[in-house]
Amino acid sequence: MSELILILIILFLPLLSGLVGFISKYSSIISIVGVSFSFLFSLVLAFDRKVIRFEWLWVEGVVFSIHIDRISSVLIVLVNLISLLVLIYSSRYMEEDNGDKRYFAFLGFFIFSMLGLLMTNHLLLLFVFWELVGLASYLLIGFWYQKESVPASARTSFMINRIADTSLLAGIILLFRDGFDLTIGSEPILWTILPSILIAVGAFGKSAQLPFSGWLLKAMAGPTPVSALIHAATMVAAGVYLLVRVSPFLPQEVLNFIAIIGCLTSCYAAICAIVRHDIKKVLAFSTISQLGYMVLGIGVGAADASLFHLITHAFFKAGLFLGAASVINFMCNAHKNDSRDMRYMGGLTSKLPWTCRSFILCSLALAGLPLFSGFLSKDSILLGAWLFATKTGSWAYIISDLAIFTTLLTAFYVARMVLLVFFGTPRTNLTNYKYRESKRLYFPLVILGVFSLFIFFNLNPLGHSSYLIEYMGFPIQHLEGSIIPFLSILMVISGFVLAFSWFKPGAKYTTTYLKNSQPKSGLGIFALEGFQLGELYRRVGIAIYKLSLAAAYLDRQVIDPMLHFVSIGSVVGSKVLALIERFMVNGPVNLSASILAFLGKRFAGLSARDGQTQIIWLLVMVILILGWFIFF
Amino acid sequence: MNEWMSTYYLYLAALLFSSGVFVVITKKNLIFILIGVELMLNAGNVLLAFFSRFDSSLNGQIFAIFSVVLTVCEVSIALAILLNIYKKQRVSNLEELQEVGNE
Amino acid sequence: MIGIIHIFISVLILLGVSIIVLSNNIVHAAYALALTLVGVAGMYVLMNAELLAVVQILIYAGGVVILLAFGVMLTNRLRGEKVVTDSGNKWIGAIISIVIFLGFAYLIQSTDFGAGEIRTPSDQIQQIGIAFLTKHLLAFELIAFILLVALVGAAYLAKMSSDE
Repeated sequence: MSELILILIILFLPLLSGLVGFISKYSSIISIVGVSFSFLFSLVLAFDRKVIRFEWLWVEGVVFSIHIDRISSVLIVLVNLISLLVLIYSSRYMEEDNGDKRYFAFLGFFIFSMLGLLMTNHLLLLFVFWELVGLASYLLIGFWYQKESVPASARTSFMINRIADTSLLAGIILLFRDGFDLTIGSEPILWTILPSILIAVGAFGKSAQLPFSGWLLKAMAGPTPVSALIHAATMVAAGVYLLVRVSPFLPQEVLNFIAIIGCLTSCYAAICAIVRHDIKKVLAFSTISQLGYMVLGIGVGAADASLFHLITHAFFKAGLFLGAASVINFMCNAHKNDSRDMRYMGGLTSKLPWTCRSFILCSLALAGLPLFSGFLSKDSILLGAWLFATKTGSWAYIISDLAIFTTLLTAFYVARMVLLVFFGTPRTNLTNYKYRESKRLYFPLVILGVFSLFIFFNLNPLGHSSYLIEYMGFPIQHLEGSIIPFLSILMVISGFVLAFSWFKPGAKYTTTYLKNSQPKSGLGIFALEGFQLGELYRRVGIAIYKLSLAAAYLDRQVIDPMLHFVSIGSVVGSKVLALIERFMVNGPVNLSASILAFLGKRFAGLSARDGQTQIIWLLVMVILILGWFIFF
Repeated sequence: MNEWMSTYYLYLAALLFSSGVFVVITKKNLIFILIGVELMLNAGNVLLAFFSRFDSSLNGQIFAIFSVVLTVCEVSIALAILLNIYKKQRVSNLEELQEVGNE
Repeated sequence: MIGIIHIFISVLILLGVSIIVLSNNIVHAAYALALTLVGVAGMYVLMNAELLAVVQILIYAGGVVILLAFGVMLTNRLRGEKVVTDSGNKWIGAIISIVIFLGFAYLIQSTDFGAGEIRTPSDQIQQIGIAFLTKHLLAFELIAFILLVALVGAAYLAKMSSDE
């Protein structure tokens, strides 16, 4: 029982603190306090090592439950920790903003939804929280709704998400109809193909895989700490989490499909990240790419590797986003126009020392350098992909090779970003600008940067697993395949070298980088526009719109006249019936009524006025009655 | 003779009764109606007396005596009321009495 | 002999009844009633109901008829006119009374009375007297009481009418 209370506290405390903060003045402090308590309790839960389960009967045949096993408890700790750090950061970042109460309330709501998602094991309840998380994301993306393009971006991202959610719901409904058990963690029976694909596509939407990756770019219109929490560490990981939970049930063809999509997505996103100038968009593409890795990991059957990468990615990506927020904040004060554009940045190490240090740590982890957590997790995915390729056969080698190639790209754009932002001569005039980093801003950054190191996950800096994974219940595998770490290290170093040659401080490219507005080559142009994915969306949307117009036209011209005909016909028919009734039904009724009235008038006169007539009638009646009795 | 006898009295009673009915229905004067009632009661007494012939305890006769006494009571009171009405209304005709009563 | 007396008394009764029925004169009707009642008393004698016959003459013919006559006198202004009344509903009345008579006749005809033995005791009056005081004591007393009440009531009513 006490565990139930604990779980409910963990679940509802963020929401309550957000709501209370909404109506009071110290919204940030209340939220921080609430979430820190939630974090502590979730630590208690995680160290408990038990599987906790509370069930209740919702309708006949459907049993919802709170089911917390080790995977969930670790992820709950992760969500709470990252939320806490983001909240601390936001308390300083959003200080001057007028709507900060709203912000913290929405954040509390988001944390609640995310925790709820992690706590349930029934697909329907998970879908409820899935939608809630999407709603929270929409609310937070559109936070600065007074700005011009922000509401449209929020709407677009929400809509794209919704399309994927429809697919998820369709999958769930099909599963239910086919009679499969909707609880995760039950006996692993393979599902049929169609619902599996639908559910996988639903997860793709949340995790911004192809073709749903556009929404994550649009989501960068919101505040950067929001991006750090939601779009890097937690919500986008929900799709991966769902796939991890569901992967024992998926048939092999669907797993292959997932692997292909994940691989393609990561490659595509890495290519797009290379040519972008907006630091947030680079990070967004990077997130998509890393999510592609995670999805790939699931597809090749290394779900433990995906989870591991999810956890490490949460730390270093959140660190990167928060660092970017600091940079943008600084640039906002220094260069009013476009504070996100990397073309105007450079040489910020002296101005933002702590930010720079944690940013570098996190980005090295992202690139996958050994001695960092990112290497451990990415390597385990690559290893899993390679093993899958050796097991499956020819075409799977493409997946594995592309994954390794993407490592190169990742390292390239990471180095590009770091070099452009922090190193070299500043491309805007910063000399007169004094800036002091506030503790609240860099304290979370430091923590996140530190967690990007390898130590917390595995004592072996070149290993490929972690005791965390072991704790979560996956068996340790001693895998052969020592070529993979070697290859990945090679890729990373070559990526760095390439980037360094182009972007090193003082290089010709960097000094003229300011003038680089558009990439010259065709591929570059293509990549800049995100492979024209937006255009594809637009065309598809227009086609659907035209289809709906045609359907409306059909409805107006054909169906409506039919309905009119039917309704008029029924009105006419009813009038005819009324006429008939008036003559044929009312007539006899009236006739009988008038007969009765006539008889009544006749008999009314029977009550005589004088006694003798009454006696007469009395005697007549008596005679009649007696006669009846005598003669019959 | 005996046979004829036994029904003769019954016919007599029937005659008395039906003429009493006729008088009550037809005549308009209250005292006349009283006379008719008398006739009917007498018819009943005749019947009672006839059937007490065959009864050794003479219950019919006794009953008839009681009936006579009650008739006397009834007639006296009816006449007293009638006198009352007459004193008030100055009419004893039934129709006029009714009209007076209806006003 | 009995037959002739029967016929005689029947004629009396018939005469009286017809005068009552057919006449519109109240005084005639009252006297005819007296005649009828006397005839009925004679019938009682013929039926071996002696006490009843005497009671009939004493009370009916001697009391009620006088009462009726007085009533007639007191409710009409007699200035030598005939006391005549109207009669209406004659046909309906005739039909009804004839129907009643015929009904009775039918009943009488269709009933088989059987051969009845005449069982009147020889000491009727003693028997009746004893019966009054033993079997019908309550009724006897009540009758006396009713008579008293009727007497008082009639006197009161008559008194009311006399002082305005």
